[in-house]
Amino acid sequence: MAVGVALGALVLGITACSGPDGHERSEDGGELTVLAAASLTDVFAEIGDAFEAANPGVTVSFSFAGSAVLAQQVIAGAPADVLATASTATMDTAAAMTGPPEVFTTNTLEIAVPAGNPGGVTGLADLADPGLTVALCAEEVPCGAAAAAVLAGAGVTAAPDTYEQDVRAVLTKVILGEVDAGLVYRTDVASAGDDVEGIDVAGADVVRNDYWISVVTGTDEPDLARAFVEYVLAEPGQAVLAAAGFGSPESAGVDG
Amino acid sequence: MSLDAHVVVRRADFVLDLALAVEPGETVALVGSNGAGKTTFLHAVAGLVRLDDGHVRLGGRVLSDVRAGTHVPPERRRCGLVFQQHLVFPHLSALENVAFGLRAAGVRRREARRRAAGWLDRLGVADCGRRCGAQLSGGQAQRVALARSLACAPDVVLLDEPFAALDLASRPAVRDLLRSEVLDGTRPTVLVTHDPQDARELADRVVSLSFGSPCRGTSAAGADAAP
Amino acid sequence: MSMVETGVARSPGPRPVGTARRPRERTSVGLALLAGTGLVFVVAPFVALLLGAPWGRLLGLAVSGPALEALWLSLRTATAATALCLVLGVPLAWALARTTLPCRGVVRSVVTVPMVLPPVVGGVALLALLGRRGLVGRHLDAWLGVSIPFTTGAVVIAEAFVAMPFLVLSVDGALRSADVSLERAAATLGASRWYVFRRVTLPLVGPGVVAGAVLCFARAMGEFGATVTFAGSLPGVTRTMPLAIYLAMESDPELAVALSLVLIVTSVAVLVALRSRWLRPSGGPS
Repeated sequence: MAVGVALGALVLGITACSGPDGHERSEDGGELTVLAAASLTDVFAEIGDAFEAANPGVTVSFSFAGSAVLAQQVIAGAPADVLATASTATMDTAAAMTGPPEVFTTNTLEIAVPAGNPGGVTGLADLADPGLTVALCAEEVPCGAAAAAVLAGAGVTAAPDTYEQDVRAVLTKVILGEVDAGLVYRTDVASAGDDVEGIDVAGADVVRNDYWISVVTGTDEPDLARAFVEYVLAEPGQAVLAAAGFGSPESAGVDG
Repeated sequence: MSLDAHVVVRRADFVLDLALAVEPGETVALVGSNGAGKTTFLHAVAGLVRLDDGHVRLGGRVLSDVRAGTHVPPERRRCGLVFQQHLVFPHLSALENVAFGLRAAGVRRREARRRAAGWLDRLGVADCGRRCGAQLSGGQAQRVALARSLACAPDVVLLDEPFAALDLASRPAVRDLLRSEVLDGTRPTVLVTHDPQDARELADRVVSLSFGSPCRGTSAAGADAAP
Repeated sequence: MSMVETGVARSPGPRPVGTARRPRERTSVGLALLAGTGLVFVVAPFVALLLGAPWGRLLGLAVSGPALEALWLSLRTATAATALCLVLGVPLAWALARTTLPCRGVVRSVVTVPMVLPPVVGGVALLALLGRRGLVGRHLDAWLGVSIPFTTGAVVIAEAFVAMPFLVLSVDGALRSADVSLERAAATLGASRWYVFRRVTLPLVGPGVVAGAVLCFARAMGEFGATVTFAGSLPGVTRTMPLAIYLAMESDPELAVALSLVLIVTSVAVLVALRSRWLRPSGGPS
């Protein structure tokens, strides 16, 4: 995965360098640094690709990591232009250093099981079975907070064997078959292909993860950054997100 | 118990080829210049150096036989080798050094220490017992090394330059000790030295080694032929 | 390394005469500058951490239940991992240094692989071997019903895997520079190889073993990647200090700093205690 991203970034860099001089918004091209939540790795790479194609001469580079880490980096003054996080709380953390944020997509949780469902998992109640090996995100990270809310909503006291650092770590343990079930985002199940099966969670829609995007205060490229945010909010970006299983921003939760 | 050795060791720059038979109670001095192969011979008898040809027999036991593929490891040879650099264990006390072989053979700690103390006393270093090996003087270390070998009741005693590490003043005393405690007429002894006087005074027979071979005119050949 | 040299200096035998000490060089300003920069490079981040520490809340954060739970788990697992490394690593170092093992050079390189491997990859490798679908793990699971991942034992295994090279290299180096003739002398006194190893070899390379164990313990205390990958992160069971610190970064960076300080202070205290206990200049354990 990481290699693929690195290769993708390399290819993007090359196409951007070989492109003709830009026009429209940025006469002389420009470079954009986007900090984005790890769960956006695949979709943002694709959106960035399309954005560069639409804006010749522009180079978009990404740094993908956990939302909290990204928020800390922005507060610490990392040279970034756009911040996209996977939770309201993390965007709030960075509020002092960003413009007004907007919800650009949503995501809901799903139970992920290894191909063939060796643990015979059928629903949330199975996550309380001490005989099954279960992975959840730690409550300190957005996916863990969402998982805790979903479980609480369903009245289930889960018996996890591990609280992972981020949603990708949960997904990896499911793919490897080390756990019988894990709670991850719908989009993660989609990205894992045949290795993982998704099981719908009743009431998952109640706890929806909102993804926020904002221009970082003090950016050298305010116009270009604004253009990228609008591109993500508009049709081209939304199409890519929808194809990967993300929800539309219109369905965003009342309190975020 | 007698020693019957024919040691052939080939090195890049020289070949050691020495046949030597030593009777119980007999002391043979091996003399010769540096690099003549004296130490190599002792180490081969003790099993630290493998033979390229020949044999080592001690009493009824075959310790080495190249043709038969026999090589008894050093720890099962019962050869009391006293090294030129004495090699007293620096981290153990003099008493523990002497008790080492006994403890390795399974003698209980108390008994091993009692016997070790006796040996230190016989060699005149009883007062060094609690001192660490690293703190002993050259003469003391040499006596402790002798006691350590003798405490194991070896079937043959192999002495490698026992006077080399000593200052001149303590040589006569150690020479007397060797005569009274080591060369006690019960087992074969090989004494390596480059000092002809030591050889004459302590040995029954002198074998002169030069470039790995016994010199003509020494009594090595005669001894070889002896029963 | 200086500890290894101590061991050499204590062994007797002929000292090289030709390598007399070179005339002392005049203190070079350039060298001193570089050395000072090196020290600053190592120390400055800790100073920054100390300056940024939430001193007001520090005590409260440091002695909170979850922090102590993670610290206690770290101490237990790092000690167990060091013990495991000693039991397996010292004989391995002995085999490398003292026997005529075929392809020793290759084995020596292979042993150091966990050092250069990103720890996360080490964790993946351990899963591939001992995981539920791993080479050996699947049989453990099927025949004995034993599953290693997500247990405290898995933490110990992950830490030992990553820390082992530090011990083996240290002991191997000490053994290779130690005087073999003392071991040969011991053999002529009728001592078996095991007895010689126990009574002569080990005490002589003692400082090297302690140095290795200290490095090993320090590495185990700081282990993160292999642990989180192979053992997961469950409070009280597998969430060691480094995992707790990384997680705290997500929600409460001040807590992370406080936990880091606790980890540093504890590790340094243990290492200092080890050194003063085992590396006193005079008289070893008798």
